[in-house]
Amino acid sequence: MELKTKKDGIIKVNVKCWSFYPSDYRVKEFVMNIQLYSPQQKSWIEYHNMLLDTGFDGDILIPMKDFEKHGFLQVLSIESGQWEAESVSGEKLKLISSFSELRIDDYQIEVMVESFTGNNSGILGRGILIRLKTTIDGKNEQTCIEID
Amino acid sequence: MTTIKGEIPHELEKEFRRIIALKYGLKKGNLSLALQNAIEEWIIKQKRISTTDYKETELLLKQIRKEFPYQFTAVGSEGKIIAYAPSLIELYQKLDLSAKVLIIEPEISILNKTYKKRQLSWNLKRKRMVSSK
Repeated sequence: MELKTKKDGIIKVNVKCWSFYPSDYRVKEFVMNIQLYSPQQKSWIEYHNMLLDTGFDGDILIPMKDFEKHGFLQVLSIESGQWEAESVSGEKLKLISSFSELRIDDYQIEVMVESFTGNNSGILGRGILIRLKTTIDGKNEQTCIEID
Repeated sequence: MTTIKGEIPHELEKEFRRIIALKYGLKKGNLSLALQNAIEEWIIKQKRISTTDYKETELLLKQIRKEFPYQFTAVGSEGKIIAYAPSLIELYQKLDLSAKVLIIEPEISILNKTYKKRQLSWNLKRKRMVSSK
């Protein structure tokens, strides 16, 4: 991870980068380190190497065991259970949803936190990406965001 | 891991095994996996305050957003307001979480809620098949 500050005239941009994460011998994943506010612990919890998935159109999906452990089941969205997700194979799943705040470096936003029974994955979806300026820099094997 | 014992009707067991075989195949461990998922789902269902009545939800949303504009609101059973705050963190700090509440976000929130249907992923994992000789 590195923090760069570029000076281009009067514009100052903070760039935060994370190296690609090697999930197996050939595939390298686009990841970010984030912090999510836990309603249970009333503190920030760290997620390292959270996968970016442009195929997920929500904000953040966390493993079901984390959803329970961090108290999100106690603070569900009033519309939780009214959402369904469809996987690439057409499988339909009932999502449960809550809210939290997410930090990426200095950038902090409100997000919808979702999960479903049996889910073990943690992913950041398009709901986050559309609020950021993200560069997937394949040549340098890193994912970077620009924070104004 | 632990073992649980209980009695269920024979027909229910047959149907359960049939659906597991159809959905996951006849691999060892699939019964335990399906049983675990079923129990987890049941637990969540018991813990969750029912919000399946869309009309009722919409009505409650309108009413609370009118009363508490620009606030995140925690609502207990029977629509009772437990706490409210201008940010989620402030709201969560006010709650003790011993009882379940439902959270209503302000109307102006930029949360990603355009559709009630999510596309989950197009992330397909490839796996090398073992060749049969």
